[in-house]
Order: sequence, then structure tokens, then C-alpha cells
Amino acid sequence: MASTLLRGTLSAFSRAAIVHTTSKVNLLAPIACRTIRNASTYSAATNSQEDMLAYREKPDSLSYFTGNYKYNDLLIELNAMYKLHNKPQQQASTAAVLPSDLASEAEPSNQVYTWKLRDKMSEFLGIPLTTSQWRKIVTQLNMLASLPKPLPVQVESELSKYTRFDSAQQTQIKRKELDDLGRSFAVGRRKESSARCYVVEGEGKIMVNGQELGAYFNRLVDREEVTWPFECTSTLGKFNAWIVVEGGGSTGQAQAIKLGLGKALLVHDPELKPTLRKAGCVTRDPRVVERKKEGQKGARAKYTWVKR
Amino acid sequence: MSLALLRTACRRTVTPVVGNSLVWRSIATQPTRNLASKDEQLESLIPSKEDLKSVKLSRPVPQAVNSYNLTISKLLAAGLHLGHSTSLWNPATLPFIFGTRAGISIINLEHTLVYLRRACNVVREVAQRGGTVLFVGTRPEISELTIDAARTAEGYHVSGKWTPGTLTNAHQVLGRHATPDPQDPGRPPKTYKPDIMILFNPLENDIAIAEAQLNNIPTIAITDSDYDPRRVTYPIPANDDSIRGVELVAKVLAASAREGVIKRKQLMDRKEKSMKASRDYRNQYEGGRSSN
Repeated sequence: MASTLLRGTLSAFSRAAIVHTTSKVNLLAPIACRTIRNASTYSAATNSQEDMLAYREKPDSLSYFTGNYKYNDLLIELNAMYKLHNKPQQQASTAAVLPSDLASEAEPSNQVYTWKLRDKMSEFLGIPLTTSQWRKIVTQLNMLASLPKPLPVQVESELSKYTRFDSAQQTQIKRKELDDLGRSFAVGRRKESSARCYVVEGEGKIMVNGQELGAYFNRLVDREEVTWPFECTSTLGKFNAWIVVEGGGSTGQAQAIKLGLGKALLVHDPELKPTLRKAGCVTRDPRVVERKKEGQKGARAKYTWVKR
Repeated sequence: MSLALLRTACRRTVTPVVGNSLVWRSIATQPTRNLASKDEQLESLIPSKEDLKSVKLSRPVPQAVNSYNLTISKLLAAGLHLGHSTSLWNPATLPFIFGTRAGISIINLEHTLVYLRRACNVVREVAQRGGTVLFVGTRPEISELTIDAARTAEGYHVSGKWTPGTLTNAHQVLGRHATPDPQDPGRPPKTYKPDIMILFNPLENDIAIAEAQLNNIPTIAITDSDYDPRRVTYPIPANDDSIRGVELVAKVLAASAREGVIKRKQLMDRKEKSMKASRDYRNQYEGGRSSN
């Protein structure tokens, strides 16, 4: 019954050329055709076999018909690499972990990968990338980077090709240190004043341009500005400060010194940063005198408005 | 005591027990000895090392599924008989529907088996003639198995989106990324067309089927109960939703394509050998004549 149905459906559905199919294929004999072999058809049969085995040119890439084969091949390659290295997790977990291993492992696992941006990556790969395509590649790279450390050599070499160039330079942030006499140096600026501040551990003396604090700054407000970084961190009697300040007026100089002392203090003790930030000794005040514009009396002031 | 001796000496049926039956049988059929200490009694129950070594676990090795060992039970296990809701059915699928149950159409697996084997034969013959086999599976769940099938079959895949114009506008879609000919950079690059297309979700790939029809490319597709099977050349009436089912069909088709490729290589090797033999024969016997 199934066979009659099959024949019926075959006749109904056959529209394109049906390939001549054989039920049993004998490996030893050549392909058996259902036509009767005569002397006249022998040459035709051999010709058909030769045509069958003729060389046919084919595209190279597996993803040729996607239209964007390089991109698709790359995704497949990265996925295959991830699957290959993702398996042996069970073996690693059963191995005994020694405390010495843990100590050594804690240090280098901070590696954060910053990937190339879209334009640089498309330049590197030679494929024009859209943002969504770039995001898919980055997702695959992040998956590879999240494999259990230490990463296999193959994976690391692959990932290093896609990392951003300047990231290596950014990670080496220079930390300021005290010099051989125990002094820290910092520069503070405000308006047109700039103050060079040297801070060293001592009794609490402050010298500005060779003079005592009281002698240099006549106004109490300026004196309080200078001592404010020490006062807010309660380090008044602990540090000596030697300051050289140039430019600007009294208030500008005082506030420049405040910033300089704050930065110098951070070199001695970086943990004071949140306290100093709240006190306002860490941010450089960007306000400067605004330029005068033509057609106006000043920076903002306009000439008297005349009705006629 | 050897195991064979035990078996012949104490031949009686033992109730099926957990674990390796032969080892347990050897313990069960040992005669009870009157031993003084309990330790010795317990020790006598433990089978000796030689007995354990000689015993082999008879676990059945799972065979790879191909078109020769397909059975309806395997298709059933993969869930290929579950069609779509009866309210969504396409009446052209009537010959393939076994019946309805729980509001869905049940596909007759006898037909599925026959049509799947026919499709395998077609793919095998195409691959044997050096044809390009293209697997199209655009849903994200089946993209990986499409790529694996293409790799096994030494064919090609489209597992993301079918770009409209892949076949009808090949010059622009496929030729865009092709490397230009170094000798003649101005000439448009050569584009290729598949010789057979296998689709795992024809319902979402109308455009692909239309392009294949325009280019006279035969198509094989898994046609569910809501899809008109007359739209493709070789339909396979089966469930297109179950990933296990699609995986089974993909593996079977890819295996047949691989068979065709291997057979082609064998024929090519044989042809090369016969050509070489005839050449040697000619050089040996007829080379002398030409010199005279």
C-alpha cells in the first residue's frame, strides 16, 4: 500500500528532472544503468562515466554561499576553538589544589582584554564589518577569554591578535614616589598662579617663597586655604611644606598651593584620596578669565543698547 | 577457580541481578563453605582478580545512523512524527498525515522513511558526480548542526540568513567578496551555483526555494504538516521543529553525501590506475614500433 501511494505521489510531485537512483550499489562494478547495453551504447556509457568523473571547479570556503564567507568562516573557527578547549573542565576540577598553587595563581589573573575597535578590526581582518558583526566577533572573543586560566597557548596567541594596541601602554600607570630625602613633589595651579610644593614628614612648618605663612599671606582666608589639606585629614603637625608660588594674585596663589599640597599629600598616603576629594583639594579648578569679544564691552557685558 | 568451570559445574538460572551478570553468577553459584570466621566467609564472596579481568562488559556500542540502518522507531524517538496544529495544516500534506491527536497532525513515518531514503539516494548520486551540496538551516538553534552537516558532507552551508539574490544576483552578492583575477582585474569574478539544496526550514526560506526554481536546482526539504510539499523537488514529510529530529535528518543526509564523495574518490583512483597501466603497456610494447 505504501508503494502504490509512493508511485502516485511521485507522479504528482515530479516537476524537475529526477536523478536516476539505484537501490543497490555494487562497489566493485561500475554504476549499473537500467538501459540495455548494446555495442552502440557502450561508447555512450563510458563517455557518461568519464563525464561523471570530470573535474568540476568548486568554491574554496565552506561558507561561500552566505555571501560573506570570510566573516562566517572566522566565527566558525572561533566557535570551534572554544568548543575544543571548553571540554576538559571535569579533569581539572578533580586534581588536588595545593596552597602554593593558589598563591601563584592569585597574581596574574587580572588580565583584562580590550579588543580592537570596529574600524581597526575590519582593517586587520580585511573584511568590512558592521557594528553588529563586530559585536558578534567580540562576543566570541570574550567567550574564549573566559576559559579557565591558564589559557592554552593556541587560544592566547589567537586572542593577542585582536587586542587593542594602546591597552598595553595604559596598564603601566606610573606611580609617584618619594625621593631619597623623603620628599614628595606636586604642582598645583589656579587662574594664573602655579605652586610647586614639597611635602616631607616633620613638625608642621610651612614656608612659602622663603617666608613664613603668616608673613606671606596677609589675609586669614588665604592662610586657612593653605592649611586646609592638612586640617581636613588631621595631619597638621605631621608634615613640613616648602612651597614656591608664582603668578596671579593672593587668592589664586593660595588656592594653587591648596591643590599642590593635596596632590603631594596623596603621594605620602594614597588612602586619603576620598577625604581630600570631599574637601575639594584634589580637583583643579578650571575657571579662568574669559576673553573679551569684539562688539562687546567685555566677555559678557554688551554696549548700551540703543533703540534707534 | 576458573569461570568456565563454575558455569559448567553449577548450571542453573539465576534471577537477573544488578551489575555484571557473569561476575554475580560466579558468586551465587559458589558452594557455601563451613568456615570458622565471618571474615573468611565474606572474603569468599569477593570474586578473584582473574575472574574480574576475564569478564567483558557487553554494553551495546551505539551505531552511527545512516540511510541503511534507519528504522521507524528511530524516527519516532527523534519526534519526527509530530506535525503542527490541525488548524494550521496545509491540505496538500493529506497523503502524509497518519491522523490527528491532541490537536496536532501526526505524520505517517512509513512515508517519512521512504522519502528520506530517496533523498539520501539523490544526495549520494549528486555527490558522486562531484556536485555541490548546499545545506540551508537559518534558525539559530539549527545553525550549528547545519555547519557540521556541511563539513561532514564536504559541501557548503548557509546557517545565518539567506541573502536574497545569492543565485539570481550572484555577481553582486557572491562576487563582491571574491578576489579579483590577478591577470585580468577588470573582469567580474567567477561565481558558483549549488547542484542541490537541502533546506531544514523551508517555511522561512521562500526566497531560497524561489531562486532554486529559477535556476533549475533541485531542492530537498523537511516539509511539515503546514507546508505544501509540492513546492520542493524531494520533500521529506517530517517535523521541522524538534532539534533532535532535524539533527537526525541532517546527519543521515550528510552521511550519504559523504558516501558519494568517497565513492567518487575510489572511482577516480581506479580510473587513474587503469590509465597508468594502459600507458605503461603502450610504452612497453608499442614504444619500440614507433622508433622503427
